[in-house]
Amino acid sequence: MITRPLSLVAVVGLVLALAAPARAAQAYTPISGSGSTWSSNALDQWKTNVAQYGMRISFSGTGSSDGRNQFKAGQVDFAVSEIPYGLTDGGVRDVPPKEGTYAYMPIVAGGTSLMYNLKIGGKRVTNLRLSGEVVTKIFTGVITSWADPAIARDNPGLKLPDRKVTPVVRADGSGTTAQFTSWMASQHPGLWDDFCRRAKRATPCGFTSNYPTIPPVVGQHYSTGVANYVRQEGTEGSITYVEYSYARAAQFPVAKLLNAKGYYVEPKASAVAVALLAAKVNPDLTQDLSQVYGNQDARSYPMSSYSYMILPTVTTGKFTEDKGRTLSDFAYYFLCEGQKQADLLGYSPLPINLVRAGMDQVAKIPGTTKQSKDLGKCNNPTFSADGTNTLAVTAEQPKDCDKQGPVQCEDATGGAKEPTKTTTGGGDAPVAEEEAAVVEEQAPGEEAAAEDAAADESSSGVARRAREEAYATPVSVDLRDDNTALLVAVAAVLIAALVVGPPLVARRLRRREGDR
Amino acid sequence: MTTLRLLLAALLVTSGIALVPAAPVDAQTSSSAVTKSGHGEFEDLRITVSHTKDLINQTVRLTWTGGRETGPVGRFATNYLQVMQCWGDDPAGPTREQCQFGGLEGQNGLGLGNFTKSRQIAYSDPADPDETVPVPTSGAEYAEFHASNGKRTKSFGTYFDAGTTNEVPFAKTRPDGTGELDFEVQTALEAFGLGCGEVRTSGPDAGKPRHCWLVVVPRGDTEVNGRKPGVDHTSNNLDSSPLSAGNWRAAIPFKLDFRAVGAACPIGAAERSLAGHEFVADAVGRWQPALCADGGTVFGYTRVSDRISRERLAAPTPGMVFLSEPQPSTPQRPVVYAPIAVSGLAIAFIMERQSRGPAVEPEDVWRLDGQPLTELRLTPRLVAKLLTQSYRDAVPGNQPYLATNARRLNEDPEFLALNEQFQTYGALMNTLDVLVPSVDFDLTAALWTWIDADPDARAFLDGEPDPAGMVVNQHYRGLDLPVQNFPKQDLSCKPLPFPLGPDCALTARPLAADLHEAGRAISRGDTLGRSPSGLPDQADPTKPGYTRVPRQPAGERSLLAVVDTATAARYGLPTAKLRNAAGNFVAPDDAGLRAAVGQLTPTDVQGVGRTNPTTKAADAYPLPAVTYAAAVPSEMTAAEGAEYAGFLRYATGTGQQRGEGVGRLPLGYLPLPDGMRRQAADAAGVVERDAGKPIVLPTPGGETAAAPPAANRPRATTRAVAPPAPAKPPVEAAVPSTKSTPVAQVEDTPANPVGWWLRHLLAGLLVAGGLATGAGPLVQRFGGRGGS
Repeated sequence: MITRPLSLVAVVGLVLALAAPARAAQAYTPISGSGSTWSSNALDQWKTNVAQYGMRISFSGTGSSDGRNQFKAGQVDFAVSEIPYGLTDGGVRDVPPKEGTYAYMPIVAGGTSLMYNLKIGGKRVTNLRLSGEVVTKIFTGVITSWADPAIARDNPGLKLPDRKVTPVVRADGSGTTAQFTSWMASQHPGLWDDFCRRAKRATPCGFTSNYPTIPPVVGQHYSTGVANYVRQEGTEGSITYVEYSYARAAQFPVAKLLNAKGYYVEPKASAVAVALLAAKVNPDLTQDLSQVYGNQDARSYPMSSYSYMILPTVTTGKFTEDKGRTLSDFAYYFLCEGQKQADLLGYSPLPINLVRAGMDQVAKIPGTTKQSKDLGKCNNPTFSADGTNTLAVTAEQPKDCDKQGPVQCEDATGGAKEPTKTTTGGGDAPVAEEEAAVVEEQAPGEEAAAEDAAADESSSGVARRAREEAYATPVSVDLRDDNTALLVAVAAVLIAALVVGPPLVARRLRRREGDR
Repeated sequence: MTTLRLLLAALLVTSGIALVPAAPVDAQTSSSAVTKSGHGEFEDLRITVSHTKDLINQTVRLTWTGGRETGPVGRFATNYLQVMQCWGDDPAGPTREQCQFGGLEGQNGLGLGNFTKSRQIAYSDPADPDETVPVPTSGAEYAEFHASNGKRTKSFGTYFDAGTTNEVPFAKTRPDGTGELDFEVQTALEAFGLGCGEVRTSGPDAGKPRHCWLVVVPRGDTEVNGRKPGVDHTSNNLDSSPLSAGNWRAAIPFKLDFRAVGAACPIGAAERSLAGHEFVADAVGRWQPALCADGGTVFGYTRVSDRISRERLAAPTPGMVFLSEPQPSTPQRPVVYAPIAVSGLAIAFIMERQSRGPAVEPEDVWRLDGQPLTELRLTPRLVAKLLTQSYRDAVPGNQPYLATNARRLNEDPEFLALNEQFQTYGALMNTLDVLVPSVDFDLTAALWTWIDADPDARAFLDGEPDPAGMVVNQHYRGLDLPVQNFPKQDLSCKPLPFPLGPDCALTARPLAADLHEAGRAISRGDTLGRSPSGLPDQADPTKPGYTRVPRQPAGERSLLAVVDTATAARYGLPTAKLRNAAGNFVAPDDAGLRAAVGQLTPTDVQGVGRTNPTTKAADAYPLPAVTYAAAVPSEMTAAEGAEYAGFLRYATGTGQQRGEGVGRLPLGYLPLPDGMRRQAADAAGVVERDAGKPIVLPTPGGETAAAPPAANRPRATTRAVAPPAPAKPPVEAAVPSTKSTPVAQVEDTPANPVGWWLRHLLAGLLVAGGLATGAGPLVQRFGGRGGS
């Protein structure tokens, strides 16, 4: 299709020329939908922008589970979800609507990221690396301290404090949870099943939309809830799974996750695009991510996935062809034009194969405008002339310091800007001066300058290490501030006892002696 | 002047639904206001609709007198109004089938009565003697919906549902017989089945836009069968639908004339990218359709934080971004700035009189209960208290460190002294904190700076009690300021046994997603909080279940939110007067913003001013928000440059004319002062001139000519850029910079959980302990002597 752009352009031009005046004359019927918070940052923007085309779309990000239920009950015209119908969760099957009445369409890709709040000596850690096993152990309560040797093995350049790990999960039914637990169930089933057993769930556990909240796991509602929890000063030591855009918006770092090639990778748009090249798309467009998790490309982020829209393929009492017209034009809009916003928002644009497949689904909507879209005009930043994914082709190879081993990169991840000094001296992104990391914010242009002016590694590295070790003195951190007051009180009582006690005891003893 | 907002909210009752916003209601009643009386038992009722002509998708205000008090005790049992929008060509008014009503039938917790929010018109109880539709033997019978396109259906979900309808099934009449309500009128774009404003293609009115109706169905205290709820009716409240024949007879129709719904822009064109902070969102939403009309440029707008805007300026093909704090240019990459909108960061409120009631207060006092209060004064210390979870009930579980604090804002002597009306009317209010956005803004840092610079507020944050003995929540003591977000540092929970809890601070009082959600939420009486339902979670019985905290009912709301002034205007929310550094309480109205814009302080970038929250100017609001558009011409093609220049010219020209409708400046913005307009026009010229041209790096001499950042104090009238001079790159905007010092992005609260004073104290105690150990034997000897 894409290889014969000329003839196609001609056809499309003709179609548009015929269709455009008719379309402009008729108003769009408003439609409404609900579902995923994972992708709602993107959907919110799209629905705002199509207002200028006369479309009125309402969408409420109430979670994937709620979206699927509402769609099934006919309360909304479309739903957005990370997982399809028909899966069994906690022993209960999510019964799908009648077959043939709905279809799945991918809408935006992204990385489920691990946003965390961690400091060494008062400086925020921004370059944490984690292997999949460590992530699973953290979220199943096996690893309880940031000073755990397993975390240290992933982070040879950091001396992490003996601070309690607080895994923060979604308290509501969530597609993000489903994505995350699918990955654990697939990659680390033993650990995950142990946890499920402790939570009194049936095993093998498989994925779930409802994360068990047994200690030390803390539950919060919605993506904004978990992100807002982790970003507080008082929640140092916490970590959560949330779509990358939330971490970016909060200006917080995310962990680089170890991929199958032995590189720790951040869920940037390009890393997600590369990873999803291995996604198997089922005939109904649902995703099979098992190959993504183990993608052999060194640039890929393992926990990559995409979100679907669930759309009606038949008319109902609620959904008419007029609505289908709105929904199809909205879909054409975000499959092409809307994908341009993906990277800016912290998502990854859909690759061409998914866009093409998505358009086939749009064609099934009753009343669809059946735009024979010229994918060459689609404005999707992943598209190239030869049909490959531009983002994946141009994605940079990971730096050497991101490879599993004794050196660790210092550059910041996610929404964080300040690099973190490492004890190993940081590979490709050394920090020029000690003060560099204290500067409030570096203009992007200056970072390069800072890199150019790399300081003498051997001398400053040693000094740095010495200071870091001094800073990172582990302290008892399970106690909250209000408990330290109690501590002080106890100490004061002890001292009083020390001062007053001996004479009293002595006197008493003497008296006894006297009695004898 | 705010109104029964919960009722308006009912039209968007599904959580989080955001339709394209209606234009806000105009403060004054227009010349197109119409007043009508009821008939029959409602002949004393006089209802005024503020606007009935030239309508677009906007909010109109209904006010009424001569009603009877909704009740009993404010419950929607009897004596309320039901309001809906209809179409119809009969000059006498629409039929019930032509009305958009029944979309909220499935909503729980909204009003009372079996069929009062339904289209169901046939039922055995209360049997309606006037009803022409027979009661079917099996199940319910509903009124058809007749759409303006000629179709008739009982599946009215096709045309409207809870997410789209504007019906208000329950509007409250106060004890004095008055009431008010903001009602969103919808055009064919929002309400497809009504077709309001659609240009007629046939008939005698061909070529004219379709008119519609606003219909009020007043409800009394008698059912359609003549029985009275609470007396001889089977329930204590009305049950029948307003569409029942017996009720429909009392309907009062108001004719609504619409402007023609403009042709929308054709979809499919490549959008030019705009990205930036939320302060400009409402204005951009108005400008977009005007700019793309008639084959103009289509702009796509992405809301991102100020900081991501700055990052984008340094990235390839940034398009145009909107921000507060500039990102300095480099000689290789000159950035052009233009002011495009003036708004403000505000603390909006919805506060409805709640006196101690008839048992305590005289009649002339309690009769006003439910009416909104429109003035609120806040000091930096009061805002600090509200933002730091320092009122006792802002944190669940009666935390001991808050034990000496006022339980709520309306018990705080500092607040009551400044806001005397609340001494009487705040008696039952339960204001605990401010609903704040999750998104970071440069202006949030300005808000914190305003607090930080006030000696009383700073001392409070540092642990000094206020005159009444109230202390800061210990989790915020010594808070390092400014920050770009609103921390929620006290995450305490009230421990409750399964499945009752725990009840936790962040769940009970969460942050809103953004400014618009915050404003929308409080206008509905919604805190966005969740509380334990008392039952296990339905999806996972091992977890406690949570339900949304019920909305505060209309007439009993008392909530605050941090919003931009445009959001406040959109939701009809009044804004608090903040005490500026001169000691005056100033509102973010035109005068306050205009004065504040004159007080901007210079930044590293010439022509870009920074909000000065500590200005001593007497009449300046402390938190104005000037939005700058920024572009990098060297990253554009010539064609793009021309289009972005066109955007700037429109936005700072026609787009600054206030008004309803496409292309106009929404309420809440201050029209751009002339100096800033000229500055923007010059910037547009430079963007167009330099787009697509390679950068010729200025010679060292040229660089000295570049304005030294601090020397030229950019006032509002300063021009950012030189008048077009084709050969020269705009070096004036290219400030050589080695140091960027934006408002602090990173907060470094010591991670060490043992605070310095505690450590010192501990050390001291240990030394004392050591001494004591040594001293022990001495004392013993001493004691021994005494004993002998």
